[in-house]
Amino acid sequence: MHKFNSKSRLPLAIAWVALACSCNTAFGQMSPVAKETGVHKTVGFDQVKPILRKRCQNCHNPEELRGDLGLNDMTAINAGSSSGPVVVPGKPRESLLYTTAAHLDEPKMPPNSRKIPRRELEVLKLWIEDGLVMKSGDLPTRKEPSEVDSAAEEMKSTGPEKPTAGESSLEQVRPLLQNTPIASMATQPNGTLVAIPGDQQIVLWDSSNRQFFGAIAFPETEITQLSFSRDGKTLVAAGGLPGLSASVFGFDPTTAKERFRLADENDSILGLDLSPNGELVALGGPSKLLKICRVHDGSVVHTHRKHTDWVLVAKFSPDGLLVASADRFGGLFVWETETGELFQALKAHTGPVHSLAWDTDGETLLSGGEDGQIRVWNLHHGELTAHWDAGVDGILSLDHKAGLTVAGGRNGLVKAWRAPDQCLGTYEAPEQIEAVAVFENAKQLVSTDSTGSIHLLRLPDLTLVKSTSLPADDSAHPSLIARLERKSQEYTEMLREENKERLLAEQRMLAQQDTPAPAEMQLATNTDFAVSLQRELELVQTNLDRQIAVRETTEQQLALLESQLQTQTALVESTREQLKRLTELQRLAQSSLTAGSISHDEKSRVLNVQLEDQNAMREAIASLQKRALESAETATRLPAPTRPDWDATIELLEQLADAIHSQSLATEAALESVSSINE
Amino acid sequence: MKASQVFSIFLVASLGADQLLSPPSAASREPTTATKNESTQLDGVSPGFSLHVFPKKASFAYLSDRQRVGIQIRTADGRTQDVTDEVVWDLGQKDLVFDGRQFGPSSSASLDSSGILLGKWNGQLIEIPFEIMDGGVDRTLTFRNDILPVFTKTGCNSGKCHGAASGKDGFRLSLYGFDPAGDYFRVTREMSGRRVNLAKPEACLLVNKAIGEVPHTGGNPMQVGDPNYVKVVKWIAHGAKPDPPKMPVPVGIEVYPTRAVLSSNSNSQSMIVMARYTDDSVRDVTEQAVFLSNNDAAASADESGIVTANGPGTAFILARFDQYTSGTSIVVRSSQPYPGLDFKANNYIDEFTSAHWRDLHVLPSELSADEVFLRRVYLDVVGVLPTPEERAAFLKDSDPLKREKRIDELIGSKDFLDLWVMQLAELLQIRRANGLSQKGLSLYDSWLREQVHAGVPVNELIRQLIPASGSTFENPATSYYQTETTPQLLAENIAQAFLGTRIQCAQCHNHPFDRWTMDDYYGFAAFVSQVGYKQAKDPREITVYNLGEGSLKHPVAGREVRPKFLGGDLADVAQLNGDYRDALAQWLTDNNEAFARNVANVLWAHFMGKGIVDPIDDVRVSNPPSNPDLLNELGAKLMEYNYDVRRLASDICKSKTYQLSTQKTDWNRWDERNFSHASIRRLRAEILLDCINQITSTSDEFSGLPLGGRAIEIPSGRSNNYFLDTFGRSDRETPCSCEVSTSPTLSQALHLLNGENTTGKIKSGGRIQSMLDSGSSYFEVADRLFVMCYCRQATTEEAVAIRRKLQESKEPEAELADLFWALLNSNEFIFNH
Repeated sequence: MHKFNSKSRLPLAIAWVALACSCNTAFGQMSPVAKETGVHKTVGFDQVKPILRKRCQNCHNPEELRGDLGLNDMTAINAGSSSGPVVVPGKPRESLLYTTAAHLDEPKMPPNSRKIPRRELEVLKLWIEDGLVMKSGDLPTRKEPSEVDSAAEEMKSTGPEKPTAGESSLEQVRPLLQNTPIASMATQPNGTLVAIPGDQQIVLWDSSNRQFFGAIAFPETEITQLSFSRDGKTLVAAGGLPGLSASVFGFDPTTAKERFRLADENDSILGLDLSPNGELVALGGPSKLLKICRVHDGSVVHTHRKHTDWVLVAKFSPDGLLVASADRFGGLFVWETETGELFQALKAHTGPVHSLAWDTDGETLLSGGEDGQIRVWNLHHGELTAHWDAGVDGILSLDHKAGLTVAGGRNGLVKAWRAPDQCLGTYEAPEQIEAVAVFENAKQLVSTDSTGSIHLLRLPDLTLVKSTSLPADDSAHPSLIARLERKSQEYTEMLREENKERLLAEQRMLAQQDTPAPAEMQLATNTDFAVSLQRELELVQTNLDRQIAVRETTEQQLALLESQLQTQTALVESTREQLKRLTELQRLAQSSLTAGSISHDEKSRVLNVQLEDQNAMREAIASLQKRALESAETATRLPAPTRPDWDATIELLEQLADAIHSQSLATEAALESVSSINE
Repeated sequence: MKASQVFSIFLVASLGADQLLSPPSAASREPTTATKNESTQLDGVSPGFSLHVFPKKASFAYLSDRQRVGIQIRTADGRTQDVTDEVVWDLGQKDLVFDGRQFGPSSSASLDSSGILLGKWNGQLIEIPFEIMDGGVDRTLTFRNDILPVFTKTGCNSGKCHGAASGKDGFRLSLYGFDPAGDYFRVTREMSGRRVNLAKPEACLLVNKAIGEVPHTGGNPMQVGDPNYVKVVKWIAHGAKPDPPKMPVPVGIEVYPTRAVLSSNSNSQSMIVMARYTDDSVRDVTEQAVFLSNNDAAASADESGIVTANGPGTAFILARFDQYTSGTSIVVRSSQPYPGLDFKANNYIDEFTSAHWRDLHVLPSELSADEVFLRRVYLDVVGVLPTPEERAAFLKDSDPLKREKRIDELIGSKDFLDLWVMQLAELLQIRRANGLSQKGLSLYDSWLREQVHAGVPVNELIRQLIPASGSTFENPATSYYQTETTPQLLAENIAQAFLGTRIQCAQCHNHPFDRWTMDDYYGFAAFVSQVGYKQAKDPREITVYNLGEGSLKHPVAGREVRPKFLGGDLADVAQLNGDYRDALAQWLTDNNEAFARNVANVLWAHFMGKGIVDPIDDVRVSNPPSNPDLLNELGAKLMEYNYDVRRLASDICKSKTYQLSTQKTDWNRWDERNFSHASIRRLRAEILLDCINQITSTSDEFSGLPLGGRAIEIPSGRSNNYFLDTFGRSDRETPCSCEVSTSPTLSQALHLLNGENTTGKIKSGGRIQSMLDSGSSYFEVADRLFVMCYCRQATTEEAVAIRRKLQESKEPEAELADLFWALLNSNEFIFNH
C-alpha cells in the first residue's frame, strides 16, 4: 500500500484512506518500507522551496507575513498562520498550504490568480505526504528541524554542486548575444583587474595589458553587483534571477575558487559591500531592507528597516566601524556596524541616491544621486560640508580616492574633481555612464556605460587609454528568432485547439436546441422527477426507521411487524431500484443528447422505457400503499405510546402515486409529439 | 459550381463598377450585374439590403503587414449582419495570403505591385484593391508604435497597475502611454541592468514578470508565444533601441463599422481599427487596440474586437489605440418580431424619441393617467404637490388641451424660476467659501435671482458672469471668482458646469477616455490666468479685476501656454488686448452648440430623471448621448428660443415622451436610457421638505431666508438643516451633478420614521385637527390625506382597511395621525413617478 512511485501514484482517495488507517502508527515507519523497496524517493523541502519562492513568498515572507504566515523556511512554515498550522505531516488534505493552493479550500491561493501548475501542486502534496523531509530522499523524521539545521540544509540543497578541484580554474570569456548596459563593475585594490558581469560568468579584464584575464563561472542567472575586498583577494558578487532570488558569493579572483556563499533574498541585491576585515557583508535591494550578514555562517547580524524605498547602495567605512546605505527615495543613513544603531540620517537628496564613497579619514562620506548633486558629509558633526552640481545629469556612480572625486551620469559624461570648484577633466561616452571606479593608485579609472563599453581613463585629465567591450556574437540571433517563431506557432496551435473545443461545445448546444422541445423538456422533467421521488422515498424510509425503533420497544408485536417491515422494505428497495434505473436511463439519454443528437426513434424508445418504468412504479407504490394501510391497522392495536404513525406514510404514498401518474401522462404526450415529428 | 470557376468568370467580367449593390435574385446563382430592384429575401428579413466592404482599399508597406476585412450587410429594416465569414474568397492569387479574416502579401509577393482581392458573397462580387509598397519584408519594431501599444493592450500601464501616478512595485509607466519617451527611459535606462537585459531577451525581468515566471503582483498578462510576448522579446533581441527621430506617429484612428444593429439572440460583429500616421500611412491596429463596452448587458467586446450581442439595448464599444479613442454604436434588438410603432407625436421631441424607439425595436409605455401626470408636472415644474382642489378642478376639466394649459400656467409661475435659480446656483457653486461673507452671499444670490426673474436668458447671464470685474458688493457676479481662485479649478468648473465636460484628468496626463490633452487643459485655464484680486474698503468685500499679465506654464513642456478654446482654436491673443475672460465668455455663449446642448441637457435631465448624455456633466467620446439627434435638436431649439429655458421646458413637458407612464411593457422592460417610459425618481431633498411642509402646513427656518421661505430658495450651499443634508442636498463644493444625491441611506429612512419632520410636523401643523374642526368626518379626513400625499383616492382595498380601523378604534384621531405618518413614510410619497 505504501509502495508509491513517482510516476504512478495511487488515486488520491485511496492514498488518503491509507493514511487515515495508518494515522495512529508512528509516522516514521512509512518510509523505511518504501525505502527498502527502493522505489520511492521522498520529496524534500529542496524541491518545495523554489515553488514557494515563486508562487507564495511575495506575500508570505519574513517582512510581510500576510495572514501571519511566512513561507521562507521550515521554521516559518512550522510556525503556521493566523488560521493555525498550515502543514500536517502526511496529510495534504488537512494541510492548508496544500488545500488553499489546490483551491480545495478558501481562501484560494495565490489570490486572484490561476491555480499554480499541477506539477507544482503535486510536489507540494507529495512533500506533505512524505512527512515534510528537508532533502529529497531523506527519511521522514518526527524531530522538527531547527532553524540552523534548515538554513544549512537549504544552503546545501538549493545551490549546485560545489566546484571540484578540476573546475576551479578560470574559464574562457563567453561572448554575449549582444552588449547590454554594464550596471555594476569593480576594480581590484592592489591589483589591475576589473570585474564585470558576463553571461553567467564574472568577466575579469586586466587593465595592465588591456586583455581579458579570464572568467569565473557564476552559478546564478544574472549578476547584479560586484565588489572587491579591500585587499583585492576576494571578489564578492551578488546575483540570482531578478524578481525571484539572489545570493552573495565570494570568489578567489585568480583561481575562481568559491570562498563562501550566503543570503537568500527574494529579489535582486542592488547594494553590496564586504567589510574591510572581510567578516561582514552589507546588502540591500527592493525589499527596502539593509541586512548585515556574517560571512562565516551566513547569519544575519542586523536588519535595518528604515529605508522607505529600494536600497540602492551600501558602503562600509574604511575602518569598518560604520556602514552607509541609501535608497531610491533619497534616504541616506549611516549605521554603527557593531551595534546596529542608527548613527546619522542625512537629509538633502531629492530623488534616488545611486552611489556612495568614503574618504580614507573614515568620517567623510560622499553621496551622488538622481538630483545631480555630489554631497560631502562630515559624519563627525553630521553635516553637509560641500555640495555641487556634477554636471553629469543624474549621477549613477561616483568614486573618491586620494583626494580625487569622479562621477558619471545619465548624460554620458565622466568628470573628475580635486575640489568642488576644481574640475580636472571630462570624458564623454556615447551613452549614460553606469559605473565608475578608480584604481587604488588614483592613476587610472574605469567607467562602463549603457552600450556595454568599458573605458579605461587616465587620471586626473580623463584621457582615454582604451575602450573595449565584452565579446558579442550575434550568430545566436537567428536561433533566437527561430525559437520565438516556434513558441508563437505553439501558442497559435494551443489557441486553435481551444477554439476547436469551444466550437464543438457550441455545436452540441445548437444540436440540443434543434431537437423538438416537448421530448427534450420531458426528458429533463423526468430526471428532476426521479430526483424528487428519491427524496420522498427517503421520507418513507424515515418512517420505516421509526417503526424499527418501535419494534425494539414492543417485543410482542415483533414477529408481525417484522414480516411487514420486510415486505415494505423490499418494496421500497425495489421502487428505489427502479428509480435508480430510471435516473440512470435518463442520465444516459441526457448525455447521449448532449454528446450529439440522438434520433427521434431513440428518443421514443427511451421515453417508452421510462413510461414502462413509471407504470411499474405505480403498481409497486399501490401495493406499498396497501401494505401500509394494513400496517396502520395493525399498529392501532399496539399500545399507544409505541404506536407508529402511519398516516404520514399513507399520505406520502398517495402523493407519490399521483405524481407518477401525472408524470406518465406527460411522458405519453412527449412520446406523441416525437412520433408525430417522426411522421 | 466550384469556386475557381466562379472566379475565372469574375476575372473575365468587368470589375470597374461599384459593386455595393443589392444582390441578384435568389434563382440566379450566376454572377450578373445586380440592380437595386432585384433583391433577395435574406434570412427572412424584408427585401432590399446593401453590402458594405471595409476597407475600400488596402496598402501594405511591408510584406509582413496584414489587413483585416469586414463585410457587413444592412437590411431594409436597418438590421446589420457581419457576413465576413460567409464570403468565398479567391485564394488562388499566389501573391496573397489570407486566413479568412485578414490578408496580406505572401513572402513571394513582389514589392511595388498591386492587385485586387476578390470574394463572393451570395452571388455578389466583392473586390478590395490593394497595393504593396517597397518597404521591405518586415517592419522594424519601434517602442512607440509597437511596444507601447502592448503595454496598453495588456493593461500594464493602466491606472491600477504601473500607470498609477507613483507606479506599482517600484516601476512606473505613463498612464496609457501618454509619455512615450519617459516610458522608454524607464524601461531601458532608469534601472539599467534590471528590467531589460539585451544579452538575455527571453529571460530578463520585464519578460519574466509579464509571463509570471517570477512573482508579479499583476499576474501574467502575457503568455509565452503570444503576439505581445513575441513582439517584446523581438524588440529586446534587436537591441531595444531608441525610436528613430523621424518615425511616423499616429495622428488618429478609424473604427469599422461605425454602427451595427444586431439581434439579441445570436449576432456578433467584428471591429477593425485603423490608425493613420504622420506620413499618411495607415495600419491595421485591431490587434493592438483596447476594446471596452459601456453596457455589457447589451453587447460586449472581447480583446480581439469581436462584439457579441447579449440582450436588447444599446452599447457604445470604445476602441483605444495610442492616445486616440473612438467607437462604434451598437444597437441590439429583441429577437421577437417587432410589431411596429404607431405613435402620434405631440411635438418634435416625440418625433425624435419615437424614431429612436423604432430603431431599437422598442414600444413606449402608455400615456400616464391625468392624476399621475398632474402630480408629476407639479413636482417637476413648481416643486410642490397639487392641492386636492387643484386636482379636482383638473380632473373635471374636459378641455382636450387641459394638460398644455396647466403646463403653461405652471411654467409661467415664479416657482418654476426659483427652481431654475436653484439649479443655476448649483452650477455656479454659490456658497460661502474663501471668506465670502454672508452679505456677499446674499448679494450674489439676489443678483442671480433678479436676473432670472427679469427674464435675462441663460447665455446672457453667463456672458455677464465670466468677465465680471469690480467689487463683490457692487457687481456680485464677481463673487464667482471669490469662491474659486485658481485658474485650474476655475477652468475645470467652467468646462464642467457650462459645457458638461470634465477635463480634470488632463491636468496631469492626457485624458484616457476622451480627446482632452494637457495642451487643451492648460490652454483653457489660460483664459482665467490673469484674474487679479485686491481688498476693498469693507473687509468683507474684495475687488476682482483683470491683471492683464501673467500666464500659465505647461508642466511637462515648461513653455507658456496661450489661451485656447476647449475643442476649438487658439484665441487670437493679438485681439485680446483686453480681458481674456471676455473672449472666453463670448466664445462660450455666442452660438456655441456645446453650451446650448449642455443647458438643454440639464433641463431634460431635470424633467426626465436622466440626461440624454448621462451623467449630464460627463460629455465625452466614450459616453455618447443616447439620442444624439434629439440632443442636437433641443440645443438648436434653445438657441432658436433665444435661450429662454421656459419655452424649452414647456416643449419637454408637453411631449408625450414626458407624459408616459412609469409602468414598463414587454417591449421596453430593459430600457433605462431611451425614455420609452417615465422614470421613478426620489424627490430631491429641497422639494421633499417643501412638500412635507406644504401638506403638514408647517414651515422651517432656513438661514438667509425669511420665515416661511422654501427650501429651494436657500441661497447658500450649506443649509444647516439636518433633513436637507441627510437627503443629499448639494453643498455646492463642486459643480458636479453628483453633488445632488437621491440615493437612499439608512439615516434617511430612520429620520422619516422617527425624526421631527414627520411626527413632529404632523402634530405641530395641526392639519388633521383643522380638517376635523371644519366639520369633516374621520373618513373624509383619511380620504383627503390620500389625495394630498398621492394625488389619488385610496383604492377600495385601502379604503376598506382604513374604515375598519377607524370604526374599531377608540382614538380615531391618533389613528389618523398614524395614517398621515405612514403616508409620509411611503415610497409613493417620496418618489416622483
